[in-house]
Parts: sequence; structure tokens; C-alpha cells
Amino acid sequence: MRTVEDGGLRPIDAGPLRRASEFEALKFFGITQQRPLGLNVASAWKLIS
Amino acid sequence: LNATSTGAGNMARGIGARVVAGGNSVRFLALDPERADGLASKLQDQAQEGETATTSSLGDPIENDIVVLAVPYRAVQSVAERYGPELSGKVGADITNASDRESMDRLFTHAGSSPRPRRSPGSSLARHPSRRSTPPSPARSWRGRWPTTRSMCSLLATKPAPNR
Repeated sequence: MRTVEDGGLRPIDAGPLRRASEFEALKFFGITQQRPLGLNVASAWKLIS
Repeated sequence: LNATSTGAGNMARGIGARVVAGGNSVRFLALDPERADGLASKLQDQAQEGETATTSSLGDPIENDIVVLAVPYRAVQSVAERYGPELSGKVGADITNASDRESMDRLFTHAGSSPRPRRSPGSSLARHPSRRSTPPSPARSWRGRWPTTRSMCSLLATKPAPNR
């Protein structure tokens, strides 16, 4: 976490490693939407409130 | 903490740049040392204090505390086979992309599986979806030794605008 912070990022503890499964699926869905939405590979999900 | 990246491609470049920007050192373990040397020297030029960006061959010992898997998804198996026991106690970041690039219609990982369990690469990967038919791969048992692993992808997803 510290090393990530040092690099200018904001690390977030997103829970246990098993959450990686859902996160991976979310990312995959995002990849499939890049072309129809005209986005590039640097597009990202944003969680807002 | 210093980091080692297995791989020296685009993802390794981005992550390596952040490591060096934070005053930490990075080492790239690469199949193509020439390409890695170019990347390392660019990052070394950006170093402001004592941090270093160096290269070594994939297969050389890993000395750093953080290990980033910046290799193609299917290459993880061979990395695990080479480094398995050496990775014990280190912090790992698996950033590999498990998308089936050919069809772009599925992931190679199983829905509901944890944590990112992998199967042996090769034909069984695509043709035998039954979990029971596949013995635990070295990659899988190796993952179990990384209780502190977090997906670097989630960290990168929170990246604010570059501050330098």
C-alpha cells in the first residue's frame, strides 16, 4: 500500500482476495463495451455517489 | 519497498514508472533484455534520489518484496513453476488479463471462483470447463502462499490525474 501511495496513487483495500473474481468480471465487461462506446483501453470504471 | 516486475511490456512500464516516481526501485525480469534495458534506462533518467531501475533475465532470483506479474495470462504458469517457493512471504500483484482475446466472449477464470484460480495452460484450458477434472495447478498452490495479495488492477483503477 505504501509503495503504491508513494507513486502518487490512492490505494484502496477492496476486501479479501476472493473479490478479485468479481472485479475481474467487471473489468472484462468494461473491455467488451470499449468498442461500442468508442472508448480506448485506458477507459475505467468510476464508482460515484 | 522495492518491486520486481516479471515482464517488461506496457503494463510493466506504467507500474514501474509509478514505483520510481515514489522513490522506490524496480527491477524488470524479461525474456527480451534489450527491450527491458530501454525501459529501465528511461525510468532511471526519471529517478530523483537513490532509486534504481534495472533489468535481469526472467529466471534470475527475485530479491524484492513486491512482485508484479506483468506477463500474458498464459505465461503465469511458467513463472509459477520457476519461482513458486521463492515467492513465499512476498506481496504479489497479479495484473494479468484473463480475457479470451480470440472470442472476447469469456474469461478463462471461472465465475464465482476464488481467488483467480488458474488451470493448466494448453488445450485443457479451453475444452474442459469442469473444475473437478483439472488437478490443482502449481500456480494455484503458489497463490495460496500470498495472503496479502491485492489486485493491482483495483489500485490502478483509482489513479488520479498524473501529478508529475
